[in-house]
Amino acid sequence: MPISKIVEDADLLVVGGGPAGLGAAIEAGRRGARVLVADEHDRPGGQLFKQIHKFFGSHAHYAGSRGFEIGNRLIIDARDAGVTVLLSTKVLGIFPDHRVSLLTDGQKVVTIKPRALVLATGGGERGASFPGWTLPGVITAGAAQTFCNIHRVLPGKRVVMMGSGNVGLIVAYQLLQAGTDVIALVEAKEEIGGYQVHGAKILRAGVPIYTGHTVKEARGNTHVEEVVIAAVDTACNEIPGTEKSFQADTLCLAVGLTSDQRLATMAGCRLCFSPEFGGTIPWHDKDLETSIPGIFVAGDCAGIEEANTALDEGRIAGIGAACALGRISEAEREAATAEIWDRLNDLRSGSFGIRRRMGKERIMRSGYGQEISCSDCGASGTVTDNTDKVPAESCPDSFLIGDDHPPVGKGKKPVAVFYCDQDIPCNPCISACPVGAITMTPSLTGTPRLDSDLCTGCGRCLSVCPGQAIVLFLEEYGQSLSTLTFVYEYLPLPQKGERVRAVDRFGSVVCNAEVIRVSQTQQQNRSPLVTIAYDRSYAGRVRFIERKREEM
Amino acid sequence: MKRIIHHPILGEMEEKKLVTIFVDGKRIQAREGEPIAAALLSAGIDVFRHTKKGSPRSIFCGIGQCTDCSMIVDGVPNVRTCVTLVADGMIVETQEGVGVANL
Ligand code: SF4
Ligand code: SF4
Ligand code: FES
Repeated sequence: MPISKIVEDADLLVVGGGPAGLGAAIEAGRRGARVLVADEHDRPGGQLFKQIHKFFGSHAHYAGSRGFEIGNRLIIDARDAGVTVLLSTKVLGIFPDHRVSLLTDGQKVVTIKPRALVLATGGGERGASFPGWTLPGVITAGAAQTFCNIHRVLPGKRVVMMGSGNVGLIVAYQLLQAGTDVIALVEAKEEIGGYQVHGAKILRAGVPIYTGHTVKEARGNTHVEEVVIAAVDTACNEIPGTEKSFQADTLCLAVGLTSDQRLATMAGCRLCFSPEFGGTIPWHDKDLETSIPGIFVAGDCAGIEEANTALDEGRIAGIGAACALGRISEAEREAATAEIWDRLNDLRSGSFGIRRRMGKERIMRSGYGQEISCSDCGASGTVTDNTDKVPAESCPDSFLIGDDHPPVGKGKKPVAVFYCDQDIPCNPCISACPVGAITMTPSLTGTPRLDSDLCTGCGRCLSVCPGQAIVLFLEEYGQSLSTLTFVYEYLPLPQKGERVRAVDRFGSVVCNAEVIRVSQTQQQNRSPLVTIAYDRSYAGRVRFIERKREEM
Repeated sequence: MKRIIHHPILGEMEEKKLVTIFVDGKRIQAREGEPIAAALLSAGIDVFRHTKKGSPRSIFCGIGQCTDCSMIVDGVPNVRTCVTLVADGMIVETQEGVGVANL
């Protein structure tokens, strides 16, 4: 799709070809606008191509698909919508009359005057300051992900991860998949910040999580050789005498992101401050239009969130731009965005999302003074100009991870067991079940409930689950054994007949086990299922197997 | 650092043509189409520049945002090696301070 000829009279210029930018371009293109996307990288898709995990959400958000698959899909949709993508193109500046200067291929400066603009410039990762933070070997989690999953170079052999939001947890898992040793994950708060299911995955793999700890220092001469952590009190002050030291060659920082609002600022868009969205962001209304008519924002640029919310915001901005360009009427815009808004509100419900939803309502001011509540957990609050209050009792912030239950058996019948006890916006397990054994009330952020009499033990829900939160348990296998089936996404894959060591949910060895089945089908989309048999007396504790590792 | 040859999700590493780049005079094999920084890291080179005060820097953000990975490439200083792709015969030099043009 890269196109060398510049369409100098585009209706709409979209800056940034990530999920938000492509979403906007697709929607505006489908409504007849001549759309130009400018992206400084050499391929579109933004950060989607390094996201090799399956996404949460619902069917409309391509839940259960991996990030790069969604990226490929969006590129095809953009092409079908007649969108032109200019790669290796940087935006140098925006002038007051919407004139935009582009630098293409580092050579040619072109100035164009689109009638509308969508800024989907994404965000940047935060650093953290401690002695040694500028040493080679201290990198952002995003950099680790880029090098592992795109350039296929291990950023290090022994890694400490700082920060336990979803980025820290997911990247720690992906580093393990790439063959790196993650030796510790450090989190200053008492509980992990990201989803419990992501945390549970890396705990099972044997990565210790030090909550209530921070990085004190990275030491080394010309490269990280040692990482020192220390416990912190509730005010985040280091507690003397609690230092622990790790021999590590890499320290990954996953300490949050900020909106890249530089172009919006240059264009003169009004900015506002929003703690829920990573700090200073361009103010925008319900159509994602900024204080300057004809300039829209979407995705991380409009507030730090996730790829699926970015895509939906992009779609809304694209439809808004199509309306501003006169391609559709106000009524058509309303109708087209209503459904997307419902979806977005679904994603922004539950204990992880409601603050963001309130934050957006506040920014858009349309919701000022409005009572809103979470459809699932019932938490409610009023949208004000100050910090919203969400009652803590009804809407727990996070769970202690590993807080799970032993599998409940059904004798000689295998049944699914769910370790998904948190109100994350996700439901692909439900659509995957051919017999309707799984239900969730009321919507996307409920927790799945199983009717174990209906469950046939087919295992389809296991491989579609982005959280790897489901296992199959067979209590009675022969005289004295039980079996457990789980998703195993590491290499090398164990073989049938192999003797392995079964571990508990913290990765500690429980007992010996034998691999009795390995299933790898197209439908599982690179999430093979491994079944092990082990002595029934350990049935309550076994959760996974010890990872076999390639020699470094 | 090691190349990731086998990967459970991405599959086997694609065969790519190899090109040669010169890093501070040393010949290094790189995979066509990869950024300079990836070639350097896999060749075990991880100090890319020194600041004016002499402290070492390497990649940090990996996507062209922080400029920590800047080097002198074909005589041009301050080239972000994490987003600049290798080309056969390319000359890459460790950068001291803000670097000098060497065209
Ligand atoms: S194992 Fe099969 S039948 Fe049982 S809940 Fe999962 S998908 Fe449904
Ligand atoms: S069990 Fe269902 S709701 Fe929970 S993470 Fe898995 S697919 Fe999503
Ligand atoms: S590592 Fe940040 S610009 Fe290259």
